[in-house]
Amino acid sequence: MIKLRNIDRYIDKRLQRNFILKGIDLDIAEGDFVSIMGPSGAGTSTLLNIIGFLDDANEGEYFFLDEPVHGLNEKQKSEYHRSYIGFVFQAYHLIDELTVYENIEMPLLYRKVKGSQRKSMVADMLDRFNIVAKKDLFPNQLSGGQQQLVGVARALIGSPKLILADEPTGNLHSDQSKEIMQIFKKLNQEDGVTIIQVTHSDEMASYGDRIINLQDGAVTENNPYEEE
Amino acid sequence: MFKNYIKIAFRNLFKNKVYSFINIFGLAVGIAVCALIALYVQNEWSYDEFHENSENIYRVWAEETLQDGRVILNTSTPFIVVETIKNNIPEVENITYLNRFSNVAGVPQNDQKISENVSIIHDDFFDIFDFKFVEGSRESVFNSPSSIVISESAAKRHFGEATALNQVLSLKIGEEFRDFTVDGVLEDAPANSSIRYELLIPEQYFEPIMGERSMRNWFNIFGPSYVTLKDGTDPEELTDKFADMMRAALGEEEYEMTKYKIGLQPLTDVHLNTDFPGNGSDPVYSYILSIIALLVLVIACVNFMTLSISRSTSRAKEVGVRKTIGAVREHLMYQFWGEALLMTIVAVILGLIFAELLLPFFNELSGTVLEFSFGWQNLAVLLGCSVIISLIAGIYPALILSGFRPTQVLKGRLSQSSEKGSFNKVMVVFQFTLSIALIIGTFTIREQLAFVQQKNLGFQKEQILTFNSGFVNTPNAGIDNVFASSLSRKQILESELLGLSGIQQIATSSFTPVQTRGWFNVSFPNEQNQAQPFHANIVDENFIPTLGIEILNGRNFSEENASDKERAIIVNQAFVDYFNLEDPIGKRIPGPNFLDHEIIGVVNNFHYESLHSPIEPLVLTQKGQIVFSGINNMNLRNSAAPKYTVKLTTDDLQATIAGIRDVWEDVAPGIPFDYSFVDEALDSQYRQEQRLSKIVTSASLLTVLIAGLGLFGLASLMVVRRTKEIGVRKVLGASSSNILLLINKEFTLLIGLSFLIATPIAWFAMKEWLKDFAYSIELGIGLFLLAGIATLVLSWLVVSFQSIKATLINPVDSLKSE
Repeated sequence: MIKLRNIDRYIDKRLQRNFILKGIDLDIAEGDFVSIMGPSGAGTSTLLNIIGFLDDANEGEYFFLDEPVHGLNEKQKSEYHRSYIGFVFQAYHLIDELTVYENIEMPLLYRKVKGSQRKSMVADMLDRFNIVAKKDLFPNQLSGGQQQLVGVARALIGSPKLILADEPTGNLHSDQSKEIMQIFKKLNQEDGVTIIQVTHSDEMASYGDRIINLQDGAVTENNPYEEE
Repeated sequence: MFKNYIKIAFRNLFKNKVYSFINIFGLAVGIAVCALIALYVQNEWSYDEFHENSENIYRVWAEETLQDGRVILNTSTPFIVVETIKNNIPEVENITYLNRFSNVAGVPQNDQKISENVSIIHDDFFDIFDFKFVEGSRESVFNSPSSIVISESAAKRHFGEATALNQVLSLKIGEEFRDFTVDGVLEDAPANSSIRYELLIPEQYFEPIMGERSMRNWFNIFGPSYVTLKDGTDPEELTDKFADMMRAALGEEEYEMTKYKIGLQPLTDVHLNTDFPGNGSDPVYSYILSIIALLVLVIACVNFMTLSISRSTSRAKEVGVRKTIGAVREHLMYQFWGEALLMTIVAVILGLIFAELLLPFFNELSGTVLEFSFGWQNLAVLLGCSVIISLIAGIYPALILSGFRPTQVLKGRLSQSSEKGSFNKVMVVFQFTLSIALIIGTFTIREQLAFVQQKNLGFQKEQILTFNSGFVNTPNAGIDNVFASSLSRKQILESELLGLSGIQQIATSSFTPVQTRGWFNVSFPNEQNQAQPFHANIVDENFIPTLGIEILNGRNFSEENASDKERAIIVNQAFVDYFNLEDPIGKRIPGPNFLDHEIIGVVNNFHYESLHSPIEPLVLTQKGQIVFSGINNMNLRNSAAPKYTVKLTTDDLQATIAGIRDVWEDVAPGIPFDYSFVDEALDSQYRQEQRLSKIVTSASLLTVLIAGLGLFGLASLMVVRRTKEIGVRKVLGASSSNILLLINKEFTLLIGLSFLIATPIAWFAMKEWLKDFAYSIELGIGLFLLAGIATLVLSWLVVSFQSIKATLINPVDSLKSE
């Protein structure tokens, strides 16, 4: 599904070139649950952003479902965002002015889904995450875990093939974190959704079936636990 | 999707009440000002267009060249022009004069007579213009010689609520009163009509009122004349025909000498074309107002821009999220622009309510009687305006906001880039430059008007009353004879009035200081055939003491000296200077043809014209013929009918005036006692300037208000943005005053820069305005500094309100959030 070849991402300073990512080669198949790990500044988020079309590599090739991403324009990229990719953020990033219901509904609006169909889709989602009672509340009236549930629900409503999660549990305490990870696990196993998450926690990483370690912008270990 | 946008827009509106208020209120004020001024300008530009035939109506002008080469253009025409055009130019369909003069009128069985303006018109008047009949009809009017048509308000004055049709109204024609029968009542001319009328009488009354000679004289002008042309006639084509007509009418020799020209000016051009003399208004006034309106609106739009951009951090997350979900830039631009549009529409509605509420105040300011009328057309215009305003105010913020990259904003790494910061700074400087310039303008105009009011005019203006003697100059009686009649009436008045307490002295004169557009404005040719201009006034021996004019040299007219009435003149110092008279007493006016006379006194210069004009040479005489005998040109812009000037020394004005009125009604029964106070009348000559002063004052208040609101918003956003910085500084030991200084410094620099830019602009504009006055204040540095300091103090207050809040924040709270 995802094929990265010799990806470089750097920032040019006056006298030197600072590499954030250097020579990344990576293949991720459909249905994988991958955890990207690494210390702060190792380039984990940048890698995730490049995979999610939010950032462009300076060098190298990126194929998504065998389509070359480096040749896509903004419009085509947002088409992919609407239909294939869902994002979950560490800081949830819900829109403060919209209710739970409206936050979840929003992606459907950009996909021009009809009103009645939208209603049933959002209702399903609320049901699935047990937040029907909260649907008219605003984000600041919810706990962090509840907000992240809404964030996941929003990411899932477009039935994406790929979910990108940047430290999804970074702001949550452990019970909430486990809940989110179990949801991911279930999605991955039952619905075949590909999941890539960035995390600093071994425990969270262990929910996935593959771990990629990044160090100073390069993949140091691919599947360190595979032998176990 | 659309519903979602609207929802977000409304929730944002209510969530940030302060910013919404600043934006909407500022815009609404701007829109209210624009609506009012648009109404005024539309009225100005639609003058006389309500006549169905307005495109085809023309006003006749006449132009003659004087011997010294000066060309005089007049829109008042001789009486004879109407008949001559009718007989010679077949392309003319209808033609009428509108010869207006003041008269007294009343219901015959009632003793009371009112001053009225009466116009002599030709029957065609009713075919040319579309003034509607309230009573009677086109067919019923002017069928008998005693017909009179009156305006609705004149009907109300004389007959109250009763039907005016077929009532009798008495008018003074020549020496006696004559009865007229009302056979039509016209609606009052609308506000945007340059043609005004009260009482209209047929043309045969011209002769008994103006005299037989005036009917045939091409050089004696009365009122305007109006024509309509037959279909398909181009007025340009008539130029040659008019020339031929004038050649035939005047004879070859006189035609060559005077180069007398007749032409046509479109009626719709009359009101705003200042090349023609008349009562039109200067279009510059419209332009100044339009510019002020736009400036106020632009300043409000600037608030919108700067505040939206400063607030962009709070919307950045939303932009990022929407982009990751699949929104493209266009979606976001539409969304943010839509929010601007929503705000604008709310502001437009609010602005129109403001405008409606402020309309009476505005009418007073501009001296108009305007009304709003709402129709579908206006609604379309308003919607169009909303779209345009929201585009101006919303497009730049929309561009900035929609351009955020999700990778940056979602990580919370968004910083105010220096480019956006400098945009805001430029905008703040722009707003405050305008504000300071307007404040300087306000101060200057007010100071000049105060100067004008307080300036010593060279005569006493307090407690001086003037009123008409009731004698008018007619073509058959000489000016000196009419003056003599008024003198005998004065003697009767004196014998009655001087017995009353509070009345000191009574003088008679052809002109009073109230008539500031010049007195007898005459000139004679010198040996080089150059025009030597001076002003003159016919006065009695009381004139100089009554007005307290200072005699520098020689003496006043004296009753003991019988020859004074025949050959004495008194001149002012300007006269002595202009004609270079050394030892002026006993000298003559330096022209050859003046009757025997000598200068017996020199008075100090006094302002007999408004302060717009310098003091020109002046001759005071008891016998007008001395002056008239030697001049070859006279220009009259005021009535020379004799008037009385009374000097009062009283605390009880009301009783004194009532006393004069009683005496007057005995001495001159049937003649209205319409008095005015000299000081009040003098103030009214600066009405245009006072209006401008009020308008500039209001505009600068509004501008400062809106700019101040914007500054308030910006300061509060800046404090929010720098909360952490302030917290760190406090932890490191900064005192509250350090913090205050830190925040205020930034704005102070901007306002200082605005001051530097505003000063030269305001200096040039005000210098230009003061040129209209022959006597004006000096533009001092103090005035500019005052404006600058006032703005600075105001902005410090506004900013400090926010920065003090910032210094009070506990650093523990502000630093914990990270």
